[in-house]
Amino acid sequence: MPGTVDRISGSFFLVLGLTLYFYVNPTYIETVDGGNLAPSTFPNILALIVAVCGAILLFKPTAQQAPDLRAMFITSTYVAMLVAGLYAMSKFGFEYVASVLALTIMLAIGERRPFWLLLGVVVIPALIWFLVTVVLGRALP
Amino acid sequence: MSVVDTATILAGFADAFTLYNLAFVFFGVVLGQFVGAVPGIGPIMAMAIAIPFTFGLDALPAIAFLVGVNKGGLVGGAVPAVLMNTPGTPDAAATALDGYPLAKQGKPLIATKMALFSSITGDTISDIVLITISAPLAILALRMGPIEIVALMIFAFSILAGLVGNSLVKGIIAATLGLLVASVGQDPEHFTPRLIFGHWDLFNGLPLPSVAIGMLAISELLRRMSMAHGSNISSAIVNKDTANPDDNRVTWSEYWSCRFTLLRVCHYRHHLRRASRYRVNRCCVHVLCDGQRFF
Repeated sequence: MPGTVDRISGSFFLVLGLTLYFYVNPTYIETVDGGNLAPSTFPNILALIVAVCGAILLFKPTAQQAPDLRAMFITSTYVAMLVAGLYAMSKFGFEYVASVLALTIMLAIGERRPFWLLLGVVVIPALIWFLVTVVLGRALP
Repeated sequence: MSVVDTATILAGFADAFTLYNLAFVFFGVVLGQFVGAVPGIGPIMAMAIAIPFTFGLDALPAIAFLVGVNKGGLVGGAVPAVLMNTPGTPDAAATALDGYPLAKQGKPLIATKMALFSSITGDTISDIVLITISAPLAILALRMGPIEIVALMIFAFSILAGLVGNSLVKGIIAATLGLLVASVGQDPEHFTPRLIFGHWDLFNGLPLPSVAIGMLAISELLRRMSMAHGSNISSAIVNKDTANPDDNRVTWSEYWSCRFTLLRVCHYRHHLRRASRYRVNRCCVHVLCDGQRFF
């Protein structure tokens, strides 16, 4: 149905803007006495703009067609996999999770060639670990 | 006193253009291109990696090597921008906007070479400007106050006019979200933390490379992954198999036709970036938008 996507995204931005204005900004921005501009002034203005634009999209959508639902579902699945992988990295460490995450994603997108699987699952994570941990001396999650 | 000290410049050229120093420039450029082509590892990080290797060198070859790494890294950033729609460095964001469509047409070599030639042209003009008129521009930069900075920011937002697309409301939302992300970190007036959610790593704001990778690379990766679902994995870019060599090289007429665009990028870069903190990628996008609107 034309306009449905804009209504959905408009609702999202309306809720996002109001949440920022009424909850996030008052909670996570410190208040100070004095000065010309409070630290929350600029983010509050931006939050209101997002909310107003979201409302405009909600009540006056354009004729944009909805994208392919199957593609959206697949993309959402990959996003969920990546988020789960990042969470697992923070819990168990990059060394243990990176290869599993790479293997899962490569198998999911249909990659079956042994060379590319070996490259993505073993070589690339090892190279990242070597560059970041050994060469740069930085910590991986 | 002359602004340009010719004798010093000539002496500098004599020191720089030795085979030994040029060899270090060459190695630096090669290393920089490899590192710059990896999204997320830009020339700055490449120089950080390379600095320990220069401790055993004399000053001139060491600096030549590091300058080579920097220049090579900037060019290398254009390679994934053209081939994968994923800028290797934030400066290559505008390259992706024009280079990737050209690569999709089966002309990745032309797009990559044009990025290389543009980079060389810009760097050469930049060096000439640095040598000749940097001092007067520095005086101008020192005179810039809050009013001029605000004017410059408004000028920066005019980029949106070229990128906003069919929906003004969506463009405003995108710009506002960008500003919201930029407001994370230290409040400039009171120096208090703002929207850092307890993560003190964010006190200096979100790092631009992370934002660029997150916004440009991750979205492109997700798009490709969703398209590749199943067994239809194919090369991202297919080089057109053609008998005409002009399809794989930039001709002089093609390069010359871009002269005004190149000069405008250089103009923006020098007069805005040196006089303020206007970033190179913003200059490029600005010119790109102008080009799409007026040419």
